[in-house]
Amino acid sequence: MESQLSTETWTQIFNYLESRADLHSCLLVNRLWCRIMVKILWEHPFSYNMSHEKFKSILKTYLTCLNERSIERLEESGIKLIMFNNKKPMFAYNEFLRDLVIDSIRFDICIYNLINESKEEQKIKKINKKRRNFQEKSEDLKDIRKIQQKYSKEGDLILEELIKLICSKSNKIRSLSVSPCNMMDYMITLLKDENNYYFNNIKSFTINSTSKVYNSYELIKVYELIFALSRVSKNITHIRVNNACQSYQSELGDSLGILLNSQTNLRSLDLEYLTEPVYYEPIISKSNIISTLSDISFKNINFGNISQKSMNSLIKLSQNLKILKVASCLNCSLLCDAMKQCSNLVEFTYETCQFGEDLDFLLTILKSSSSSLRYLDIFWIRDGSNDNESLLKRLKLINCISEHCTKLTYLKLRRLNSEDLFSIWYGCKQLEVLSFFCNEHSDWDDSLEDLGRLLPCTLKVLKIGHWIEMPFSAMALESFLKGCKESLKKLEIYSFKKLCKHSEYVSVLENSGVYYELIS
Amino acid sequence: MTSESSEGKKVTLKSCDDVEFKVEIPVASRSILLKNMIEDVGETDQSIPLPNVNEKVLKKVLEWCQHHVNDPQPTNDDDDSRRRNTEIDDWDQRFLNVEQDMLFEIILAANYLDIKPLLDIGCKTVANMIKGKSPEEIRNTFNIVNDFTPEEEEQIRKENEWAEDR
Repeated sequence: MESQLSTETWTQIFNYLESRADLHSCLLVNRLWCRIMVKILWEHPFSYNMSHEKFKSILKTYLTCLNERSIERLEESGIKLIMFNNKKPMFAYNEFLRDLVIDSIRFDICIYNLINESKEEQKIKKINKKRRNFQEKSEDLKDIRKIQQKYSKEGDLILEELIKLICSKSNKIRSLSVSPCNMMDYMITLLKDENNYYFNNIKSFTINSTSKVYNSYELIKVYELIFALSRVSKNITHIRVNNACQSYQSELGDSLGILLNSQTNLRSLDLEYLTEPVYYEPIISKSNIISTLSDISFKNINFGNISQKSMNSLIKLSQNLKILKVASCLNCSLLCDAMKQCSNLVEFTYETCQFGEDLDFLLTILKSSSSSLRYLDIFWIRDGSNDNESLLKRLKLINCISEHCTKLTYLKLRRLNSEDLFSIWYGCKQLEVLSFFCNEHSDWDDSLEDLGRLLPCTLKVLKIGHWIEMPFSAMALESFLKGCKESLKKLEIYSFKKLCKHSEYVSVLENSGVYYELIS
Repeated sequence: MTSESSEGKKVTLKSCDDVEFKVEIPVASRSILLKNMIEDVGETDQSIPLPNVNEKVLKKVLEWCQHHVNDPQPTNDDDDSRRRNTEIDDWDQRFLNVEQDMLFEIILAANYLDIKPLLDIGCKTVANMIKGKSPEEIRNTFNIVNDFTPEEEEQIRKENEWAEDR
């Protein structure tokens, strides 16, 4: 039966499987499925969340793929890992890698575990008899630091061979994510190779950091790596800078400036956890040179004290912007001058703790993008502390959406009351999907019948969330559905309690003929 | 050729078992293969032979094309989102609630006729049949013979231990 479909079609089918367990089951079905699945599984093994034990198992399999020269080199240095006794691997697993994540902590821990395991194994098999001399052994046993040092050298050698193996097909790698660590040294050597172009097909580059790791690594290496990458990788479409620490900002900013400048097709830039201007200034002020850049994401950035140079850069960038995501940022209203230029923005996502802080920023974007904006998602955790002020601000936002965002097809908002919906119905005539949380203080029962009757005929999917109890009666829901059942295709009701599964609501939904889902 | 100008006009499709179907051009144009052929050849009385699709499957595929005649044509941008979205529309779910042989034949026809959205939902349906099953259950579902030697199976299992759900 399975031979009916081609390998390409099975590959396409398997691409819809996301759980690792499903992929693993397919791997063991038969040889054909195994050949297809092994490529999918080993495309991005480092990207899965997993225990150290499982991560170690990945490294073990990679180490079985080392060539004889590498194994000899390790053995000459006294490293005899247990997997070298195994037979040849079923596949050259390293050749399937597409997404490489260099995360020194996981690599270090697992490599040292492997060395330990091997030594334990050797002990058990009594291979450990040929110790050079008793003195050295006893010294080793006494001096833990020395043992660590010895293991560290072994670990470094293994990591070097491992990176060499992984990088041997680096032209197939499309996504590279690095945290500053010693493993970068070998990558820098490769990237500097004038005769070869390692990592020349990278599409996505991420530089992560934590201050702990940064402190233990030479500053200049980060600069070297990014600088070397800018020489070979000219087609990166997505760059993400996550959490730069203060001591690195200057090197990182300068090298990223060079990397940005060297790209011909950069579309997307994510800046995350660069809390102070000193971290993001060197990047933002240099990003205006990228005419292809159309997606920007800011997360946890404080725009207070943003320089005029960066503002000018943002003003220029905003004209080409198609997608803008802003999450947990401070002083966004200082960006209003730039946001006035967002006349091509199609998708805007905004997330904050307290509603109202950046109202000017929101209104500026919504007005400037009125003829282009199709997707709008505004999320806030808390309403403002002052009820009246908060109410007024929300009203301003809703009125602005209704008046300016008339071409929206997707809208997601928090805490709305029934009057807000009438405004949205009135203004957003092209809306296809609306998702919102009900304000439980609003009088929904009196309004639902009219809301159903006036629902825009384009609206196909309605997602309603509520906190504690259903804010409307089953009868009101029935009246609502009666008015819109011809046009509405799907109704989803989200609840934090299972009250919505109350039978009277279920029977109304079942009789309506509208496809529905109740999600707790 | 725009859908407006071609409305009402028909094209004749001929299945591999020589059965002819007269189909409105916008319906046939859900297939990129047919759309390109119609655009290249222009208006013609001659039937278009489809040597890889039999009557039963062609009828079924045309039923899908008719139902989705007004859907927007997929763009290349959709490719990235395909993997994430595994939802299948209600009507499509009912449409693909068929014997496994027929499901596979629809997928083959969608592939041959270049109807991406139909191919996608066909693939999603098969993927949903795989989800949550053990290797043995999958073999039973699709009538597949295990051709691994016990040694091979053991080695594969060991080398891919990290992906196992435990």
